[in-house]
Amino acid sequence: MFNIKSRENSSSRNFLISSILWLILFTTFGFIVAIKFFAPEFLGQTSLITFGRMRPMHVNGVTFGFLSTGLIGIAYYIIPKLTGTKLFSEKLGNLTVWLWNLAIASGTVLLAMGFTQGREYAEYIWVIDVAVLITLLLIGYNIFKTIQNRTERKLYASVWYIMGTFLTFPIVYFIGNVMWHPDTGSLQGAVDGVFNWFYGHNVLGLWFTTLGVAGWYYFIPVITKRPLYSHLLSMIGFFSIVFVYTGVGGHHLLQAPIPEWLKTVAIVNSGLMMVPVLAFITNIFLTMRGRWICFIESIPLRFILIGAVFYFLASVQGTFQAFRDTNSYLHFSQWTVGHAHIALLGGFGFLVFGAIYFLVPRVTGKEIYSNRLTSYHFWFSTLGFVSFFCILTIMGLIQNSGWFQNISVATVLLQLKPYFIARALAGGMIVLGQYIFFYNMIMTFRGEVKTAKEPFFASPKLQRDQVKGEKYRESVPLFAIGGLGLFLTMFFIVVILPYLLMDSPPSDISHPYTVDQARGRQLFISNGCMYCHSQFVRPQDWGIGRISQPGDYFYDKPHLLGTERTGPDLAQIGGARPPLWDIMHHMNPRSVSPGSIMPNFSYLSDRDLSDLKAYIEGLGNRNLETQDFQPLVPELYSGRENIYGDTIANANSSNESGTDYADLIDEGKILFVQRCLPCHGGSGNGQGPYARHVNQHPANLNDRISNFPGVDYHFWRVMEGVPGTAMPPWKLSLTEDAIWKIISYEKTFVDGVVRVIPGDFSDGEAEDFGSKGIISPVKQDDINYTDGMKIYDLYCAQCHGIDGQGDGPASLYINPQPANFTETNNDFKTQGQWFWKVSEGVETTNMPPWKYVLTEDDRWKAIYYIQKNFSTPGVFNEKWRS
Amino acid sequence: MLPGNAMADTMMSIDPADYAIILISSVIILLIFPVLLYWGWKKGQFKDLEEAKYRMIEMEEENGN
Repeated sequence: MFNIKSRENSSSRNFLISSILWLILFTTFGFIVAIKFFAPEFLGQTSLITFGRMRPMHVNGVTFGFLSTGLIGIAYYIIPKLTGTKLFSEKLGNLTVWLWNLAIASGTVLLAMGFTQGREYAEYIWVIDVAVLITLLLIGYNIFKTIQNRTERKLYASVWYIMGTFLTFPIVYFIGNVMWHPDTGSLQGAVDGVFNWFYGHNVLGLWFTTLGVAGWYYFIPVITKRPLYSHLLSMIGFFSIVFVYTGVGGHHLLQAPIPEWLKTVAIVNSGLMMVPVLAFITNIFLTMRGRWICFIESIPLRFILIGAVFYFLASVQGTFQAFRDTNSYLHFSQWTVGHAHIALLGGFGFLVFGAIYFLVPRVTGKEIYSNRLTSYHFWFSTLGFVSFFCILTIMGLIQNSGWFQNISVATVLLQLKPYFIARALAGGMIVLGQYIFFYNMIMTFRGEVKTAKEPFFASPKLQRDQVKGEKYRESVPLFAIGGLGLFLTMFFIVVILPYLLMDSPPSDISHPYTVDQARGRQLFISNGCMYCHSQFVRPQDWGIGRISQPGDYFYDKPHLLGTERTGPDLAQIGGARPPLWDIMHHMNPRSVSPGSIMPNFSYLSDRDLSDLKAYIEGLGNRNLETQDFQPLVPELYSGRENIYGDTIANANSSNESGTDYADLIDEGKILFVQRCLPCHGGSGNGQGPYARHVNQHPANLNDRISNFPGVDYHFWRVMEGVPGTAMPPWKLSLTEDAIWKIISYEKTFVDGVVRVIPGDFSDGEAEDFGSKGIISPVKQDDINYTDGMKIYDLYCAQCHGIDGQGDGPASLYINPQPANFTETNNDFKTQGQWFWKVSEGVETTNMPPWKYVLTEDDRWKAIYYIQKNFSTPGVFNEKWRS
Repeated sequence: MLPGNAMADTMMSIDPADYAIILISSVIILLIFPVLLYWGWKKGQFKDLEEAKYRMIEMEEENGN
């Protein structure tokens, strides 16, 4: 197959054959990975096929093995056709086939053995990087020499795009893989993330996109026999891609601790991405005008056009999710996995499928074995992929909803299980389509040559001579200086400047790794833990820890920021679990975390497990503080002081401020009773009636507020609510003044109330009211007694105690102390006194005015229960029986 | 959504000398493109931009594909 002979198109053919072989292998890997999401012990547990190793094998395999190999095969075919000459050297071309395949095969084996640099899309170790880079340069040399020998004066758009690819991508590869650091292929600190994603996104932008667009611009006009709608539009697309695409990588790090200006550059460029994308899709659809019948008749064109549409959708989605707000919601989930698949498999994968069907007869002289099988391949791939993409997108939204509400990974994973299964089924459908494709291709290659392969140009040398002196005048200098200049300009902005300027000292939680921790970190990388565990806390991740800062990563090389949260974020996990729990978790995850889908790492030695534990325990500096869970107060609220602070500080019954204080507590109490009591309870202990109906239990305000770092934190929480809980953002319906009054009242659950109005005042009001001869309208029977008991137990017992002795759970902090009914019941002379106290509450105490909460009947029932149950025997019958 | 005080930690301070270098190099780089555009236009680089798309179809037909 891989004869190094000077046979025309043999390089292209051999790259295409290689692409087919890698496709089968690496999509099968993808299918196995998909199954491991719901059956983590599928195929047993050995290091070679553990999830964290199969995933990079799948990703690197399909990107470099299947897609890149196929696209290089396309480029090797297109360039001679469009330049009117032969490929400069088929021998060199076939040498690159060998080198390329050797690099991918070796890289895959090394990944299986755990040799990885741990940076997404840049996992291949340095030796493989060198082989890939040399191959890229040799391919580029072959292509540029071919272009140099061309007989065509003008360079068609596809040639521009391919030239652009081989001018820029070797630079991207060298810089992105940090190849001047062979040991790790990475930089120290957060800047490594910038380099990683400059590379990661430009594998898409300056490799797949430029090669892919070259393919689309070639195949669609050729198959439809209609010229491209606008060559100028394709030029605009070319220059905007090399400039704009180069700078979008930072949008992978919009919540990560990198410079804000760099994020803004990435966002602006991501928006501008629509320029080349719209230029492309407009060009394609206007080229198709009047030729849509070809879409029906030609299956290769069907693949190619569907690929173009998927590429367009992926690009629109990419721009949409690159804005700050959308990105903050959509990050860290299967949504992104769906996006990667629609771009790579949906877009470029379908292009390569169509191109192979179109090119194989031309480079082998053999007809495709079965059109029916080709059609099956199309429908299995298309329907399978659309299902696959939709499932991933839905899964992503479910995950994102969970992350946004700070719901734990364990809970979200249980919800995802049916989708994991559905995703594997859809993936299986895609893979089945590829097996059909593979069989069709085997049978095609086994077939006989039916059409003679003619050299495209009988006398290229002669034609070269005829145009001598004209060919270099056009296009190449403009392209080379302009295109490369634009690329280098953006490269300077998004890579060189951050490299020069990002310099953050170690943060408070950053520390050098011990020998054991460093070894554990290497195990973490070689087993691919970072594919499921991110290591940065975003501003919205208030439940995880403090927001990550650049200095947190001072000692990290490579960075392990991560892109996905299939497991919990580990940035500050140290100390959050007992050390030996980690070891049990690694040996058998489900023994300590029943819903976990983490692989079983029992194949690790005792020392490996111990070192891995040491690394994880050290993340975030092993935080053992008992009450260290508060996120930072946003700037908008940071430092805000209680506008009633002076009133509270000066509260004293002997001066005028005492009245102000009483009014403040009174108003705050009413607001609290109306808005907050349903969840937090009248005593603030989180035992309100609605607390029984929410997942996240309402806060015990005595405990919670006493641990707040400041009143600004309290104000922020009431104003904005608490994501992931039933606590709403009260700023939507209350003024700041009202919220400060509530806060002032809630503080009394910690500090107690200053009794500026003595109890005599309330007693006097009650006596006045009672003297009006108010009688309970509630019939004194067993039904109302039982109702009264339930109301009392739910609303009153938290302060007054089940036995009415004023010793409920909240009585430990309620000050002044709640009444003991077994003593005070005998004091009241009339039923009206009772009703007044319960309805209006008691001034400058935590006794609420229950008229804002309970109906008259309910209040009377509760009074009936209290009177009958807690009075001295005989007193009740004597005083109250009607 | 984004707490400003946390984001402030990720901001960088630029040394005036570095700032001057960045400014000057940026201006020079930006000036290259109008010059290049003018040069390309004078050299006829933008003449008959659409020719190539017709040629590629003709070549396909010439080669019997």
